[in-house]
Amino acid sequence: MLKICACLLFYACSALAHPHTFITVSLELNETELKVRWLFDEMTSQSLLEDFDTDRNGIFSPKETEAFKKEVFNDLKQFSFFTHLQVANKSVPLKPTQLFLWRENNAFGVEFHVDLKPYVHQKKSIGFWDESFLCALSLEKEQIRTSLPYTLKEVDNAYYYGYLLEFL
Amino acid sequence: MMPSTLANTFAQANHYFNTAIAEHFHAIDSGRVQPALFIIALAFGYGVVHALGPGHGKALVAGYLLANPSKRSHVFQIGFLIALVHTLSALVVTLCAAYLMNISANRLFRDVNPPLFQISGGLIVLLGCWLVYNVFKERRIVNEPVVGTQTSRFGVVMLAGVVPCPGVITLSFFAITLGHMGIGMIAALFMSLGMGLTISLAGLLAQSVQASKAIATQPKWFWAIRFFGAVCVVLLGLWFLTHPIPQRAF
Repeated sequence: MLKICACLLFYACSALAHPHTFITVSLELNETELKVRWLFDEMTSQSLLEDFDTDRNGIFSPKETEAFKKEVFNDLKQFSFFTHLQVANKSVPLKPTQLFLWRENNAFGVEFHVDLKPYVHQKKSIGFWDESFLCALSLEKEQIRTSLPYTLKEVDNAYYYGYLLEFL
Repeated sequence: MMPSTLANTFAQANHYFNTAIAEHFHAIDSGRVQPALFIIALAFGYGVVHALGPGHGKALVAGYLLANPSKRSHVFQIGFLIALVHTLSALVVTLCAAYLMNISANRLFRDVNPPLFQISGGLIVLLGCWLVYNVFKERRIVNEPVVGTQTSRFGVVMLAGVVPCPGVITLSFFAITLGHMGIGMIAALFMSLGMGLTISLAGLLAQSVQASKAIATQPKWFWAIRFFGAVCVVLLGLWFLTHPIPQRAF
């Protein structure tokens, strides 16, 4: 019986974490706008730089940015861009307004903006996670720039982890 | 302990190996042998931790071994061969992308993975049906030792391994872009050894359930567990078929 239990536990655990991409998140936000920045791990960055910094100059032209948006970024809509906005306890579909790419040493960076004007003076929270858990996101207090009062907590989801930013 | 806490621990371990390997690849340029040796050792550890995650054929191996009682040596043979095929298919994708198509391996992987995943799912369903048929056929001789055929073992190896390992793709493509293809290939092979160890241990666990006294001495239970394993293989294949991998970004 012990072996059967061990077996079940092992295969249950096997359904857990399996990220291939590691993203460090940093934020800048005020009442009307949210700016999200992602910095990728070096291995993933190398691959993204190969594909989208086509002229290898470390700077992303509008054409290169557009290619990234079309081929990669737009597909992230199905994952809510790993940014789960709730307004008055209701999920709100995320609509990034601007997209920027940059290179920082060997890392690939992405920045996108979200318009929060329609939700001014409403209770908001933003979750950061990837439900498929192929990407692991990390967010520290030091990476949040805002004058709004907030709490940041780690979230225990069903089989993956994440961070929840709640505005008071 | 919450599942997500475990998930976090696995993710941190994966992140550690990922970062450490990347750092040591840069150190190779100093001309010393030490970083290359570290990369190989880290790749083995990365393989062990990486294969703990979902995929990599563990569930298929477990279902197959429950349905088809095998010798311990065969369990290790299956585990290590799956990891090797899983790695070789990843290396084929990486080398084709880098040298024939001039694109990143992850970009090619995004294109080939969804159809491969579904083809593999369809074949797993067929394998599962074959196992169900065999187990049902052998229901009257349940307490006699049964050993899987060589053909079926290699069938499992191919089905479980044919979908390329994204971890190996990322590692080997990274090595190529830094100009260290040789070390990258060796690291990928050591990563496959690490994955093979994890897959084999998962198989051993299933095999030990099948061989435990409580089951081996009860013909009805023995048959029921075999049947359960075969049905699990069918369900796994159906799940692959009906849940195609979404087009992933990275």
